[in-house]
Amino acid sequence: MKDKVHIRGKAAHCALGDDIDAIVTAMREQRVSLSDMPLTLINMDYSRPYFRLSASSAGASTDMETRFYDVLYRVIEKAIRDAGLSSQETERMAIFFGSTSIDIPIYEEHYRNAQHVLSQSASGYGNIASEITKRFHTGAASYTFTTACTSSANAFLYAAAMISQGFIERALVVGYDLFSHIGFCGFEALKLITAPPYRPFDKNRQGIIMGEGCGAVVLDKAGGSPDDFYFLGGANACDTHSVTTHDPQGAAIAKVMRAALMQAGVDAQAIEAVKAHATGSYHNDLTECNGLKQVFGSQIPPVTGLKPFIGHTVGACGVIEMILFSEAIKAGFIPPTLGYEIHDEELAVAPLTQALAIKTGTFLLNYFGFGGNCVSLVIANQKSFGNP
Amino acid sequence: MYIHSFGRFVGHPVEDIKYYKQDVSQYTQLHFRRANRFVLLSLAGACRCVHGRGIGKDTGVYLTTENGNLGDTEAVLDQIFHQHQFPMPYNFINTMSNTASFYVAQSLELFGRNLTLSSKQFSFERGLELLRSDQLCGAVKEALIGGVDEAYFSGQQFATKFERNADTIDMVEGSCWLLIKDREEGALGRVAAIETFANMSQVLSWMKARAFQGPVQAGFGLLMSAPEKQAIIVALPHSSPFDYISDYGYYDSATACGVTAFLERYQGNCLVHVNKDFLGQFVVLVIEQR
Repeated sequence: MKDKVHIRGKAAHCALGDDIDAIVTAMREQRVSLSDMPLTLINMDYSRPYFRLSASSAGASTDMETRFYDVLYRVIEKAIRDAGLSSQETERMAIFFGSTSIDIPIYEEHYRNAQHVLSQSASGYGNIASEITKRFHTGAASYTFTTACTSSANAFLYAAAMISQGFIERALVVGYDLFSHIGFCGFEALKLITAPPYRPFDKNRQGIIMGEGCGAVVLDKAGGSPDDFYFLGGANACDTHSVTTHDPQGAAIAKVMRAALMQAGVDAQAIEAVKAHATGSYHNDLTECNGLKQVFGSQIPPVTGLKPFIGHTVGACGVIEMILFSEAIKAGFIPPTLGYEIHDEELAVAPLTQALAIKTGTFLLNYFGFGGNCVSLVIANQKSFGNP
Repeated sequence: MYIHSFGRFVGHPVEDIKYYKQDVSQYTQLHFRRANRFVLLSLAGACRCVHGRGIGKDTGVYLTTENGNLGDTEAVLDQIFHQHQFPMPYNFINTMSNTASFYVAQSLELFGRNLTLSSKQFSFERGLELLRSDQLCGAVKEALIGGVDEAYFSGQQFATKFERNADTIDMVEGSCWLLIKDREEGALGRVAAIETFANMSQVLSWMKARAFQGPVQAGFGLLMSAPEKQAIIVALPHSSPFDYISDYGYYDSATACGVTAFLERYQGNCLVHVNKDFLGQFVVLVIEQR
């Protein structure tokens, strides 16, 4: 990487709220807000847990399309404001959008009363990024990443690389997934959704709990404030073991973590802590822990998973979890992995059970998804590396 | 970015999915029992591109598409909203748009970077930009990049999107791929430029300041107007129009089709492909062939 790329501005909206300070406070106080989602649409008389955006902050409109863009645009406006961008700077900002469901939540509402809506009127995966371009009068390119749960992590990886190489001046990276019946019913059909509590890495873990959210960061060569995080390096690779699960030995995951560290120019020993993907599914946690052991040996740094706070926000988790993780560190702590109680000898990795006091350092963030997609990112804040 | 081979699978949709499975079985021994049309379409083009060639295990896969798995997504929505049933697991998995890029990697045993990308009319061009970035930072030495889209389901869908009569366009499905390496030796040609412009006058100024190698074929995206095409032809000395959409038909990531058709037909020539999106932005892609 030629130049450091800073997270100059950020905003997020998730189950913990839409204000960064309030979200960090909720993590510090280990508060969560979990809803029940009935499966009446498919004639089932039971519910499943889901981390919804809070009603008061989720946009008042009952029209799905209006609500969809209200949530999205508000988060982006806040991120741009947080970055302190001038209108000229915004004009030269490329858009990197990552999502699993894209605009399916909008189309789903039409399917209640109609058929063949998608095949008659689909406007394409790139449409939301195009709408962002129009709304915010950005004149640069837009890219939409659809790589399942790594979508916005990939968006971040490429935005940072292209800024560093001088192809673009700055970028808005957005991860966005609202509740979709396809995702919710699909994961339930695969028997992947667990009843509460959500407990990644625990011996009794039984699956994931999904969530919705939107996160946006403005990346720039110039940082906003001295403690802003910056990108050091990252990698993407494909594990061809299976379309739904990674090789349980963790070889591909270890390979992508090593590639990210190499790209970042740091040794494994330099990593202060790992934000694990930690979905809570039997296979994903096993695979990730096996990969961590290969990379770090017996010296695994503190590890935590953030999904018990906000749910698995699928394609949006890349950006949202990065914001939550980095903002918590700026506030002086890394949150523990909620729900974890019983050590699993098979994993042989114990995540944080209490908050870890820390303000600076170099950190590894993992993201894995269907389709064998693996992404690892390395970020740091300025105090740990001197002035860039 | 040096182009070492290309593969093209373009035509009118065939209803029976066995047609695609039989086609793909010529190139891979893996069985794709649960694969859908989009996956098989992707494989048909990608496998043609690398057939008979040895490629490295770290080869990246960049699948560019505007619509992805439309058919399976519609089927799952129908299962949920009208049949009131859970989606069939493999239907659900196939709604994930990167399922196709995964199966390309699995069938060719490729463990490198793997992406599925969209950017409206510019999906293929933007994919090339990401590949260029990966090559520059040393993350990728060799990559397969394809433009894959199913055909429009109906004239109405096309007309809604493009606000023009579908009767004027032959709507096809397509899967066109390039094998790109960072090595010049043995290459058919190279990607000489990918440039984005806010308006036509910027495009024309850039063209006038640049020298193009050999006779130039000028290709155009679907949204380019007749006067815009004419202005490009005038701005490019010794150029002639290359209307690959008339020759092969249209699908949403058709730029990839234009590039493969050019590589097949015009040795020693240069392709200048000008594309336009609904926001009035232009992307120029220049391919130089040996």
